[in-house]
Amino acid sequence: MVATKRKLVLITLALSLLFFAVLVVSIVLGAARVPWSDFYAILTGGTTDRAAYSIVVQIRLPRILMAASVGGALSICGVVMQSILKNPLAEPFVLGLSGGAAVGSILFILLGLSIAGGGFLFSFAGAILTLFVVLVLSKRKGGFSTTRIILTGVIVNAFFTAFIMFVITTTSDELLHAILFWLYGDLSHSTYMNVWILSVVLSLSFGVIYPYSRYLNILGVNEELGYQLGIEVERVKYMLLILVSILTAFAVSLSGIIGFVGLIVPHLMRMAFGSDHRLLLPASLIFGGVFMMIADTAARTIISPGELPVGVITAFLGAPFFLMLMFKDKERWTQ
Amino acid sequence: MDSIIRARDLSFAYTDELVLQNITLEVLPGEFLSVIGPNGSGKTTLLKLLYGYLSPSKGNVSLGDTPIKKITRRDLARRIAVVSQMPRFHFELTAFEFVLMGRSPHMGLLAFEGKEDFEAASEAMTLTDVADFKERNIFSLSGGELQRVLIARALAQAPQVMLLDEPTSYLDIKHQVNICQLLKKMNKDKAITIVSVFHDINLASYFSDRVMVMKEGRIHGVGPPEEVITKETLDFVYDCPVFVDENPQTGRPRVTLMGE
Repeated sequence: MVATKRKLVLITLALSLLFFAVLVVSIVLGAARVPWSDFYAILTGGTTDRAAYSIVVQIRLPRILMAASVGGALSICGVVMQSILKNPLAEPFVLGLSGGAAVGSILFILLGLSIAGGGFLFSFAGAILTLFVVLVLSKRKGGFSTTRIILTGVIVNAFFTAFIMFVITTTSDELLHAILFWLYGDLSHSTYMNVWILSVVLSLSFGVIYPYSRYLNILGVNEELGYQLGIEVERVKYMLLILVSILTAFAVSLSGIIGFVGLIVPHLMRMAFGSDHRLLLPASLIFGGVFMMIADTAARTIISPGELPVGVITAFLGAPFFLMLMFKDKERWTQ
Repeated sequence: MDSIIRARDLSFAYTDELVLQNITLEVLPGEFLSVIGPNGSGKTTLLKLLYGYLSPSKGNVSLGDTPIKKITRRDLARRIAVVSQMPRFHFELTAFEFVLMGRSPHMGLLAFEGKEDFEAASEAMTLTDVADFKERNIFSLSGGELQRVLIARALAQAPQVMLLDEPTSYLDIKHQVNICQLLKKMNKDKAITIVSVFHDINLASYFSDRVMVMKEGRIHGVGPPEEVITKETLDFVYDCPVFVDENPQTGRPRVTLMGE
């Protein structure tokens, strides 16, 4: 399927409509049901019941917007990682950033510090330090090899996992719950401030990445072809790799480890619209948001008034759905 | 005539051992130069040095009068197209999408392909006899079909120079001849300079203006096929006895393989 401007406009429009539909439904659904009349009143600024207003505007909306931003961020990070590492299994956490962020976050929880935004700062520092370590360790004479990067990331992550398991098995019960929730993705502490931070970083990153779409198409084939077609391969590759890692670090430190979305959304979008990044990136950005809003709504409602970590839902719903599509599509992944 | 590609005293080592030693070569504009030699003689490495994918440990390469290090990658890609040995693909892609990638060096960063690009890609696919495969998934193509798609991508790039690494290795005899004839036609009609590595010495002999023979990272000889493709040279370079005579149809040297 050849990418054209027309297809870009159509896909963006259709997915945006879907996005807003899902957004509205997510606002209405939840432990406390918001009647449509109240929703309409809030939207039009009409007088309404204070409780409904507070649920929608102060609790539910920031959380839903956070889910959408995290989903969009992790999905485009997955797209870029897959292309640059030329590996369909690559996802945003392939460099071990999730492990680094987890260690930071767990240290913060264990230390029991009460600094505003401390959880974010600790896990962000953990993720960025990990990025730095992985890049330094995988460097060799004359550049980096993608296989070395992936291997280094996996090994570093395994090391962190061991640390996390050690902490989990030796820690007290009340801290354990906080740690586990973080490890499987926690959107319940979302604030407008967090939404602003992530959506600004996400918009800036997307603005930098998108012009490189055609280069990502070529680099996804191989780097030698990149050289042959006039790309400054090393510069583009590391600029994008570091950029998506920073975006991933923001997402993971604001929301915990939400797995699977960064792997599955890029592949769903490839199935639907092909591998051209000029379509794939915007489609993944929007659909990643849709996917996460659905997952978060499920996390809030399935055992309501209790709540599940959203990462449990992304994998629980995503895995069978993905496998079903894969079995239906007989031509794909046959090599 | 001034040469279009000039390699001066190139040496190259991947690790400690020199793969190429003191290669000096002038490629003339509009010529068809073939490179032959046994496995591991440095042919592929030489091609990679000629378009700057690898940097020489010693010596330098110029395009026209400019050292290629001083030319931006994008400008280089507008002038030199490369057909390497088979890449491995990782993601779904149609043959047409792949050929369109050849237009990339001629496009702006954010652009979508225009009419001109579609025409160039379609024409290249017609010339290489793969127009029927446009919508085929690249994974579903046979080795020979894919090889012709790779050549179509290079043609769509509209280069002045084409560097090819064994462009006929996966082709049946009809397509071997067709591709060589096509390269010859591009060479004659569009004055595209061709530098191609060949395993098949007879194809090199028939289609080339000059043939370069390599052995163990050095140039053993360069010259018109009649001068270079001789029994003495081939016996020595390939360490394999051959029989060489003149092809009565073409007047070019003809090589026949023999046992002991």
